[in-house]
Amino acid sequence: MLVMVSGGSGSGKSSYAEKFICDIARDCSRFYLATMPVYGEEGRQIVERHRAMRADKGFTTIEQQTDIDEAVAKALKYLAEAGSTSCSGEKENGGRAGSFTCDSNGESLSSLDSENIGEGKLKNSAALLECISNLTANEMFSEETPKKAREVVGKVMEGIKVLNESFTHLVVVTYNVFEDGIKYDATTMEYIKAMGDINNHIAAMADVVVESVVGIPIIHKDLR
Amino acid sequence: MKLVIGGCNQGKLDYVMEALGSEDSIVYNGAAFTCNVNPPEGTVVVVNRLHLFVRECLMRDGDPEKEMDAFVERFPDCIIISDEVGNGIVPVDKFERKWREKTGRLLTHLARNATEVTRVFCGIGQKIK
Repeated sequence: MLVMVSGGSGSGKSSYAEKFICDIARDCSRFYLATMPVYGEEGRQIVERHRAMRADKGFTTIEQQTDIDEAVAKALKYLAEAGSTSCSGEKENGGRAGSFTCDSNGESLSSLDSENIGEGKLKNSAALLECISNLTANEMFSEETPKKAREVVGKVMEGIKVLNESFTHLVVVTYNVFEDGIKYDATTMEYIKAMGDINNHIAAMADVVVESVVGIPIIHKDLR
Repeated sequence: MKLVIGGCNQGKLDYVMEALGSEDSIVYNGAAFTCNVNPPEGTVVVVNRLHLFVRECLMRDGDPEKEMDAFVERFPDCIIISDEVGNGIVPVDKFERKWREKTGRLLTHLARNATEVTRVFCGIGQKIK
């Protein structure tokens, strides 16, 4: 299932997206795909707040600021390691297959992770991608000259398609950057255009599209 | 407490006034609002432009959530109106960023405790809680 959660600053979109993925992906290995480059104290505070929110929800964090499709290989590698004896965690239940506990960035891993890999593909795996606004900015401004919206949209959407085909459930958090009525410089307007196109493409593909408004979910699409 | 939100210039206050009809009410402007007001008995207390209250509060290093919680406790039947300000490009300026974020968090917090939340779009109110 593909789910898109949008909203503005402080709208409760992350919190809602986390609850949503935990509800639909009960028996899945859960990955948190973190895209935000962490700058300074404010950046660290955001990361800390989100980590605290995710604590005890059994997410494994994958840092992926550009080339989001590469997160699939990292998830596979992680699950393969969870099932091998090279795992740094401790063995439980007398060494029964699939009973390892691993730590990843201090977050606990459920024992079913090692079972959720087969023939080089992910099975029963869910990913929460946060956030499209960061991923889009990272792709657009990865080189000295900002890339054009069209190129960025193509790159990000290719990545989203790969994630959507690889994970059983994909929940994508995005940002409403469209309603402040300000005419920015050409580069920022290009960024807003890329964000608009990407959001529209994901919403068209998605099974569920939700907008978080002051913490209240407004369902715009639900094909379930 | 009832919460009314929406973009700027969407007719939120008019919407509230129309709904109140002939009821006596007093409207406080968030830009010049302190939580120590003393409205006349029997009037409906309306706080307009709460987003500007958050701004003023942050400028004097206050805690908007704490102050509004105390206010709502005093006036549990009040109506609070605010612009939604978080739906745009994240500002470069640190204070502007903080204001947007805190306004969003305060509204989310108030919405959780509100008996009713209405979003006004082009003058039309949609009850979302």
